[in-house]
Amino acid sequence: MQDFLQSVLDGVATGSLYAMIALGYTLVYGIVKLINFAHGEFYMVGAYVGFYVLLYGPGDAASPWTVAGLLLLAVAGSAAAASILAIATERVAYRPIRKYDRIVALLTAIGVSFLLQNLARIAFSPNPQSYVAALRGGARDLPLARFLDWYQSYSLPFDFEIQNAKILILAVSAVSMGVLYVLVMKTRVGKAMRATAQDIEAARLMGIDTDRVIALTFALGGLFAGVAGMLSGMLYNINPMMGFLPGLKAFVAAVVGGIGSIPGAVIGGLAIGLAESLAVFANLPTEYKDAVAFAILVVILLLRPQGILGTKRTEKV
Amino acid sequence: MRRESVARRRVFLVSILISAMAAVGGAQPTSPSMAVSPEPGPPPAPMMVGQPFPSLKIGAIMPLSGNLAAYGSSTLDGVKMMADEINKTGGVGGRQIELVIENNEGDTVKSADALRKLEGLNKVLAVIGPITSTNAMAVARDAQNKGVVLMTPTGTNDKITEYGDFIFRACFNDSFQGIAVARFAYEDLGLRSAVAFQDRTSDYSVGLCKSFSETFERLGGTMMPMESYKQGDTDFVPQLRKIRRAEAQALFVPGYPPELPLIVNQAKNIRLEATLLGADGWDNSDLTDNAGHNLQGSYFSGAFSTESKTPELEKFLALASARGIDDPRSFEALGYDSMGLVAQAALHAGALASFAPSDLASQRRALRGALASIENYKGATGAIAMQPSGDPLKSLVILRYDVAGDGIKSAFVKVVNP
Repeated sequence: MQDFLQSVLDGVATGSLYAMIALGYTLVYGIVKLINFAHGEFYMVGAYVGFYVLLYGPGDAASPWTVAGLLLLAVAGSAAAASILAIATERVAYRPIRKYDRIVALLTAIGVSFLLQNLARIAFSPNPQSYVAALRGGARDLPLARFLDWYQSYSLPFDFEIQNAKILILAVSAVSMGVLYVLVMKTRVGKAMRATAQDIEAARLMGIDTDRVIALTFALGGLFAGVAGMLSGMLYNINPMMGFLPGLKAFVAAVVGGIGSIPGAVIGGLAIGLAESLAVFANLPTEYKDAVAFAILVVILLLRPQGILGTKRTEKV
Repeated sequence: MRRESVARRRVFLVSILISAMAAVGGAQPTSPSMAVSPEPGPPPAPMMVGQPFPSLKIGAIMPLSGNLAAYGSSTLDGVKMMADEINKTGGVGGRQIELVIENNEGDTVKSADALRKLEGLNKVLAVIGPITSTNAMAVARDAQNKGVVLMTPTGTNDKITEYGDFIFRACFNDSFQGIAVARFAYEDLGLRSAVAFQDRTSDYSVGLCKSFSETFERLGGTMMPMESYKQGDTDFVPQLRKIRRAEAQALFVPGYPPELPLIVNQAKNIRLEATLLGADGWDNSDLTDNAGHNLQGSYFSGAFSTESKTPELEKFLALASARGIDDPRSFEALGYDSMGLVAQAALHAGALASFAPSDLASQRRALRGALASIENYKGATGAIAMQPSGDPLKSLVILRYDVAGDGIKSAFVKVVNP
């Protein structure tokens, strides 16, 4: 029983990370009908920027407060960098081809993904790096390294074995999803986004600056991906290809949940995370863990192609 | 010093290559710089355009970027140490060693491309590398077909040398390594149950897990169901939980970074109590930097220990520290010995009539023959006798990680002879 609950908690935590990435896919798809395959790279860039802020950030992080400040700065930095990259990608790569067929946009997105991966290999070196190993040396980094040790270790509330990182990830993703929900449902900007999603032409006729709305959507998606990248980068290690598999699984999560639907992305992410974790609990050989997400994708596409919360669109030919 | 004769320099060279490295080391001219040849005057001054002695081209295929970069650059350091040392003391029979280095990024396809380039375009006499079993096996068939000697410093999978008589290695193979670690766990540590945790994408890991499991069971121990992961995985907690539930006394993880330190850290984080056992991939600074104190009390097999005090090892350590490598490990040592073995074979082959500078194919054949008949090469990793299979007969050491001050250090436990 305890093992089961542990697997559920693990699954929820992993799932919320997928959900944070899936939000970016679903937001962008909802508005421009583009599956942005470069989204995993925003996640990777977020992880790297957080890493470099912690490594070279200001202040001698000797007290817990300066450590907290530096961490917040790193999170802000990774979010900002990933958003800016997302806006730039949209402006440079996607906007000029928006009027063409959707297959053009899809192929462009795959190209952008490869381009960003390889630029990262040049910029950050192709070798994997680790937050913990990089921060262990030097006096100033000691409290930071201690934070990372805490982040990776397990606390045992009520006899469960929950990694501290997972709790933090869960909290951060819950807060950011709440913020996103309020932003989309309760603000004027959100209204503009929803209008653009419904019908981009009509929205423009109503006086909405759709280019700005689209840029904002990319920025939001990038922001979540960047933060998720840093949260998971601190847990494992970082390399230029790290965005590929989480990006792919988050894409599956978005499709399973119903692409274009924000609650759908959350549900999809949690469903994939839980399924993976429970499959291992049910003694599925661990080497099949990665296949679980894709098996679910196949089943969903066969039975309910629009996803769990998606609405069926009639395609006008 | 300046007017040292050719003969004297030859003696120098031979003595270095064959036996008395330390003795020579004492009398070594000082310059620590790696200048190719400081000698301006005498005729055998190597490598000039139009010289009767063309350089001896040796290829190297190493991962110098990517996941395995740490191993690749360490091994290459070792190769260069030996090559520079030979060149400084007159080359191989007057021929300077010229290394042609290709970066395979640890990738099988890039390894195969690199071999084709080195063999066809650069016309190298022999290739040192690749360093992992999977990559070595990706190029072994081509090397055999083209008739170029392939010397893998650290590719331990048994099958590598089965590709043919042109394929050699400088390290022991997995059967020996897996058997040695399993025997040590059962007989010396008194462990009776174990789990193997294999990287199913690595021929090295799969081969080692197999030989470890077979030996451990043959001795009377219990092997719990094997768990596995793949390269690039980052979260191993689900598998480690299963292993913890099985309550095995030992966990054998013959892996590499970047997965290996994550496995060690996560195992300690979930308080897995099994004794961790590893193989030669554990002898690496990436692991000690990332896993630190979590390595305390784990055992692994290595090619050598800096505590064995042979003159050849002393010489190697001195050369390493002259290069700023304070704590050289198996990979530097095996790179060094690979280059040494090839150079000695080239020296022997040079005495053969067929070793004329014109005919590349027969040169390569002569080198292969000479390499296969090396009987007692004294390297940094101990005495090496080359068997007809291309596998060396040599001993291994068992090491243990212990906390030393702020860091973690490997300490010598015992020697295991074949």
